[in-house]
Amino acid sequence: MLYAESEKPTLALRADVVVTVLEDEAVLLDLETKYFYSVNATGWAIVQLFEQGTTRESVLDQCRAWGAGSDDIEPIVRFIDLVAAERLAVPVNGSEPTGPVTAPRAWVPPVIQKHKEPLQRVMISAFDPTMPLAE
Amino acid sequence: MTSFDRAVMHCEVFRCGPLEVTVGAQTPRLHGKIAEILTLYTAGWTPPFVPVHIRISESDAPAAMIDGSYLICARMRVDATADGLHATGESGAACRFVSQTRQWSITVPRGAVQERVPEDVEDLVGLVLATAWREAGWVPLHAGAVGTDGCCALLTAPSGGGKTTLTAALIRRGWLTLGDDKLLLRTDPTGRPQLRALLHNFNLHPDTRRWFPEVGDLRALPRYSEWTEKRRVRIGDIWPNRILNSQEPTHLVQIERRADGDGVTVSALDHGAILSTLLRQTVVPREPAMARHILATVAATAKRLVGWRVDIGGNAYHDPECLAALEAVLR
Repeated sequence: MLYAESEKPTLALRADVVVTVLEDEAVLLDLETKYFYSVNATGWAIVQLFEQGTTRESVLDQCRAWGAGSDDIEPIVRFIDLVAAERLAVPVNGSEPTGPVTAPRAWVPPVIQKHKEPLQRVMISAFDPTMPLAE
Repeated sequence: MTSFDRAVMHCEVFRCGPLEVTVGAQTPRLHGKIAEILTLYTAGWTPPFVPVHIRISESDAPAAMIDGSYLICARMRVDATADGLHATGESGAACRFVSQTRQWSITVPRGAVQERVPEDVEDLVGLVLATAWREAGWVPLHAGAVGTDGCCALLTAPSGGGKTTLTAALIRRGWLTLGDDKLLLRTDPTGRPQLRALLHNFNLHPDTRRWFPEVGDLRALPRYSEWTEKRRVRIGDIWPNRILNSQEPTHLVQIERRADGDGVTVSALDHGAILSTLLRQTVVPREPAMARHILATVAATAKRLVGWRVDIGGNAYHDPECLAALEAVLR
């Protein structure tokens, strides 16, 4: 897939998107929108690239290095599109990732699931996350 | 132990779960209000305790409401500041936390005849406790929990969603409880979740007596808040020897109440629904380090739980056997 120079921005995970890693998946929580997302092991590996800042082309190259075939390009692009569309990763001025990334143990196409309902933005108290009724 | 000037302050120390809270109040009225809140946390904990210092005093003028960049609640907004936190309530009460000194300072407008000042103080003290519990490694959970025979079920629903009634109904069938709506959760180094009790009180609606006559007539007791009919009662006064202090959770029960109908139906929750439900039982401030800790604890716990949704009809509790299907999948 070819991009013009202006279409190859570095995308980096926003600082207020927090991630936790489980055995074979990860969960992302956007503290601005309060939406949260589950990703599989390959998705987590790609998210690590975004944590350091990367381009779409670099993600595709890295996925090929992890074992992606031509049939896998579409789910990878779909994954990146959703990450960008949801503004989990945003354009930044930066370079390619240089830090370590945990590669998926076996290649499977990346999957990201957006959970339907966001967490509450307004709540009853610092302990009770129930959305308050309108007074 | 504290930097308060004891000569001019009404000082007292309270244990609230893993915290040792030292309060210095400028007036007996302020001391009374804060003591009323902190004495509720009667569940037994053992040392070490994390020290927390709260100073509460009167201010000359009400504080203006702030943005709420850290947290927005119904009556309180909290901002993160360069040195800690700043919170304000609708009555003009305010709170500042300086993380370096671990000192919380609450101010209440002097002389203001504000019927909502006590509620704001309750909100601000709730912020103090929730923040300190998190900093001590725990995640506050707005959920009930019951346990028996190596099984421990988290009971989840929004406020007014039936946690207390289901907890009480299961106690009557032999289960023990860690509480009906305030718990602490953490994971050990191997990832195993641990639940701890904070309170040994229930907030019971007087109508509960329709199903559970041993509750008695609760209407003579004061409401615990102007927003609810519920009354605060000690669990042991109604159901003796039914308290648990600590348990590893194994199940999650998502409660859905139907206005009509007699029955109870049970259906399985998938992993995504368990995670979503559990995340909705805790407050996640908009501060990445704190949010990361909460997310890690909740996601690791959710991964280990078996989840069930239970739909409970409005008249279901008339039948003492209505929970047999739920118990069958939990035990």
